[in-house]
Amino acid sequence: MMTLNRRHALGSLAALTLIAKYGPARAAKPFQAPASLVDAAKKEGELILYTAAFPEVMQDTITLFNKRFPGIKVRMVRASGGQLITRVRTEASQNKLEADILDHSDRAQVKSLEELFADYAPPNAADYMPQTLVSPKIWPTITPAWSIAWNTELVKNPPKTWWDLTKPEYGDGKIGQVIAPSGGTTWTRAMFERQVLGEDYWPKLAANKTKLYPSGAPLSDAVVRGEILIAPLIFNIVYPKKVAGAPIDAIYPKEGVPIIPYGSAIPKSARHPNAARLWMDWMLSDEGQEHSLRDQGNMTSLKTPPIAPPGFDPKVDKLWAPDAKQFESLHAAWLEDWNKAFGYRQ
Amino acid sequence: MDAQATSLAMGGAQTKQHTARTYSWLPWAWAALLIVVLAFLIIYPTTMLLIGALTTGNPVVDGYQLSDLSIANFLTVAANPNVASALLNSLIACGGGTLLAVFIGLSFAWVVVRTNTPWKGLIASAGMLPLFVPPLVAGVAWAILGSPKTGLINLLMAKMGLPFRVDLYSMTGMIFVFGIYYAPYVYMFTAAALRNMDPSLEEAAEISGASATRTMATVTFPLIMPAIISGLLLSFIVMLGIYGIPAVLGSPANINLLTTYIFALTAWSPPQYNTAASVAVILMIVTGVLVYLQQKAISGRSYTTVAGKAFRPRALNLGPWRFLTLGLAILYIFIVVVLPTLALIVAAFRKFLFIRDIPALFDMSQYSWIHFNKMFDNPLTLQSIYNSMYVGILTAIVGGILSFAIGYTITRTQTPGRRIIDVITTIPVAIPGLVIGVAYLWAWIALPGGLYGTFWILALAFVARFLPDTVKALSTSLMQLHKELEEAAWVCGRGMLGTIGTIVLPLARPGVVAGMTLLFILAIRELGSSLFLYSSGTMVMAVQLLGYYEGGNIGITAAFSLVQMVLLAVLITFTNWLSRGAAEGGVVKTG
Repeated sequence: MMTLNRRHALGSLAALTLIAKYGPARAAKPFQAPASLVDAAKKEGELILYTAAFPEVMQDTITLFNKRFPGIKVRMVRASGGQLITRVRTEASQNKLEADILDHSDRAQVKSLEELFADYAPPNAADYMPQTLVSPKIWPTITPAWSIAWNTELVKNPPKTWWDLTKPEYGDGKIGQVIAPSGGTTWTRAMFERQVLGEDYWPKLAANKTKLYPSGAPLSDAVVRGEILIAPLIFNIVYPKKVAGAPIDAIYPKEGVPIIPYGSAIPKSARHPNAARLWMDWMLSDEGQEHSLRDQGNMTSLKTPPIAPPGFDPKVDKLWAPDAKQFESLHAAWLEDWNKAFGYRQ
Repeated sequence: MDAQATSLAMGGAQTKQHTARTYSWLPWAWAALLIVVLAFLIIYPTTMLLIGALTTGNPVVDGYQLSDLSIANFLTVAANPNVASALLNSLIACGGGTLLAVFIGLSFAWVVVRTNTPWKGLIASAGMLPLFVPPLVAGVAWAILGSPKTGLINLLMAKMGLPFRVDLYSMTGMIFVFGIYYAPYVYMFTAAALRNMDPSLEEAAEISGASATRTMATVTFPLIMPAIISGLLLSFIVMLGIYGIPAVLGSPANINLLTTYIFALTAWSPPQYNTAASVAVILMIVTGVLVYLQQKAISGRSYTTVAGKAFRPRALNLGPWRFLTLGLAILYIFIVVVLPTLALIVAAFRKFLFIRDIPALFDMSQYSWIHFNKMFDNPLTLQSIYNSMYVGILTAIVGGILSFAIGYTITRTQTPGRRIIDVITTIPVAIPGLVIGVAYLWAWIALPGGLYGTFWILALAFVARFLPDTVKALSTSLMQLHKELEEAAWVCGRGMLGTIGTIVLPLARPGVVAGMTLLFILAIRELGSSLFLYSSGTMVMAVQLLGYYEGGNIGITAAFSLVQMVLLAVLITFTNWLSRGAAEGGVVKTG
C-alpha cells in the first residue's frame, strides 16, 4: 500500500515542475538603500500598509523597519483575505484607495487587481524563484509554509510525514485541521495533498475523523491546550509559541512543504511612493527575508535563503508551490470534493 | 382671581390656536426630515445590499443596470440545502438561547426590583457584566472552561473522581452560552418596566383576593408584556447576528449557523459577498416576520402604567425565602461573571494555556505579565482604545438624540408618516453586522466629501445599525408615560419642546440613559461594520481584538478583553453615578 502511495506521489511530482529546492548556501548581502530614496521616504514621513498578515507579527516587522529607518511612521490596516480584497476593490473604484502597499496571502486575488499597481521590482529581483512570481509588479515579501504540529506534552510519538496522519493511531479526533474553503493558504495545502500525496489521501485522512476549524488561530491554540493533539499548521503560527516555551513543536514533512508566497505590490495611487519602495526593497532584501526566516518562522521565495530556515534542511526538504493557473481553475470543483470527503457543509 | 385665571387660560388657548394654524406644516416637515435622515442611514445602504443580493458583482466597482438585476442568485442560495440547515441550526440555537435568556432575565429583574432580597443593588450591577464581554471572548472563555478534553470544569470533575463531563462544543453548549450572555438584554427591558409600574394595580388585585402568584401571572407580567416581548425579540434577533460564540463553540462540532456561514462566505478568497447578501436577505425575512408578530402581539392594548400620581414600586417581603433568591442570584453571577472572568484571567496571565490537571493550574511559575507587556508595547493597542472611546461617545450622543426624536415621534405624537418611520427604523436589526458593514462601504464611499476614512463614518454606521435597539429601549419607557402628564404641561401653556424638556425627558431619563449606555457598549463591541469602515487612522478595539485572536494569541486576546471589560465597567459606573446625580437634582419624579 505504501509503495503504491509513494509511486502515486512520485508520479504527481513528475507531472509538476513546481517542486523546488533551495540553492546552496551563500553569504547574505547587506541591504544598502540609495541615500536619495531614504531621504525621499523620510520626507514623506509615513506609510500606509494594507495587509492580510497578523497584526502582531506585522508590528514586529514595523518596529524593526523603524529601527533601521527612523522617522517613517507605518500605519497598518489589517483584514482577513476576502475582506481586504473587497475593501481595496471598492476604495480603488472611487479613487479613495489609501494604501501605499498591499500585502495579501492570495496571489491570484492580487493579480486580479494588477492594473491598480505601479511598476516595481526590487534591486535583487533576479534572486527570486520564478515560480513564486505571478506578475512583474507583484512580489512575495512573506512566504509562510505548512508544517505538522503537535502538543509535545501529550504526543510522544509524533507523525513525521503527511501520510503518517492517516495512521489509525492518530484517529478518533486527535487531529484537527482548518477547512479548505477558508482561504488561499488552506486551499494551497488541499491542492498539495491531492496533487502530490494522491487521490486517496483525503478519504484516508477523513477516516481518522479530523476535527474541523474555521481558521488556524483557534486550531493552534487548541493544540497548545491539548484539546487537539496534532494539526497541520502554518509554521509561523507555531514558531513564536515554541520559542516562547509553549508545549508545541512542528516538522516539515519529507513529502514536500507547501509554501504560500504572498503578493505584495505598490498601488499607482500611493501617496507615499518612496516610503513604499523603501519598505518593499527592505522586506525583499536578504536582510528583510532573514528577519522573516529567523524571527517569524516563515520560508523565503529567494532561490537561496540568506540563513537556513529554522527546522528545514535545504539538502533534503522540498518546497511546493501551486501552479498559478490551476490554483484558480481547480478551486471550485476540488473544494466541493474536499467538503464531501470531510463531511463539511459549505 | 378666578376670572383672571380664566382669561389667561383663554388667552393661552387663542395663542395656541393661532400657533397651530401658522405651524400646521411643521409635523409634515418634521416627518420629512426624519425620513430623509433615515433614508441616508438605512434605506440607501439596505438598497445597496439588496442590489448585491440580486447581482453577481460589487455594485460600486462594477456598476449595475436594472437589467442586471435577477433573482437567480437569490434563488440559488435559497434552494441550497446547506443554507436551510444553517437556518435551522440558527433557529434552534437562538430560540433555545432566547428562552433561557427570558427565564433568567425576567427572574433576575423580578428579584432585583420587586423583592427584598439582600444586596440587590450589587447583584443588579454584577448581572449586567456579560453585556461588556464581546461574544468572541465569551466563546473563548467558555471553551477554556467547558471544552470536552481540557476544559477546566472537566479537569475539576476528573480531580474529584466524578464520571460526569461537560461538552460545550455542541448545540446545548451554544444555547447555554447564548442564554446566559443575552439574559441582561431581557433584564434591562423588564427591570425598567417593573420599576416604572404603579403598584396600585397589583394592590387592587390583591384586595380583590388574588394570591401573590396569581397577581404576578394576571397583573404584573401581562402589564410588562411589551417589555418582555421587546426583550425576547431583541435578544433573539441579536443572537441571530452573533458570530463569535458559534465560531468558537459550534465549529469544532461542525455545526454551522447563518453567521458562521456568512463569515465563511466573506472571508473566502475570492469573497462571495453576493451570496452572503442573499443569505442576509433570508435572515431579514425571518426577522421581518418576527417584528410583525411582535407588533401584532402588543397592538391595541394599553400599557400605560406611569400616571401623574406618586408611587414607589413595592418590594415583596420574601421572609426567609429571600436567602434562597439571594443564593440563586449569587449562583447566576458566579456562573455568568465569575467563572468566565476567572478563565480569562488565567488565560491572560498564564504563559500558555496547557493545563494538565488541577494542581498544574496553581503552578505560579506559569504566570506572568508577559501578555500585557506585549500588548502595550504595540502602539495600536492604546490608539484603538482611544479611538473606540471617541467613536463610542459620538455614537451615544448622535444616536441618543436621533433615537429620542424617533421614539417620541412614534409613540407620543400624531405626526404623519410615523408608522413608516417606525418600520424603517426596525430594518437594521435584521441585517447581520458583517454584511451591513459592506453595505455601508458600498453606499457611503461614493459620497462626495470626506466622510470615508473618518470617525464619523463609523459613528453613523453604529447609529444606524443600533437604531432599532435604542429606539425600542426608549419607546418602552416612553410608552409608559401617561398622556395626562404632557397634557398638564400644555394646559399650563408649555409648547411641545418645553413639554419635552420639562416633563418627558426627565421622566424618561432612566430609559434615555439606558439607551445611550447600551449604544455606547454596542458601538465599542461592534466588529462587523467596523471591519470595513475603519481606516489607518481610526482603528478600533474590536478590530484590534479580532487581529489578536486571528493571530492565534489567546493570551493577548484575553488580556485585551480584560482591559476592555474593566474600561467599560468603570465608564458605566461613572455614567450611572452621573445620571443618578442628575436625576436627584432634576425634576421630582413624583409628578
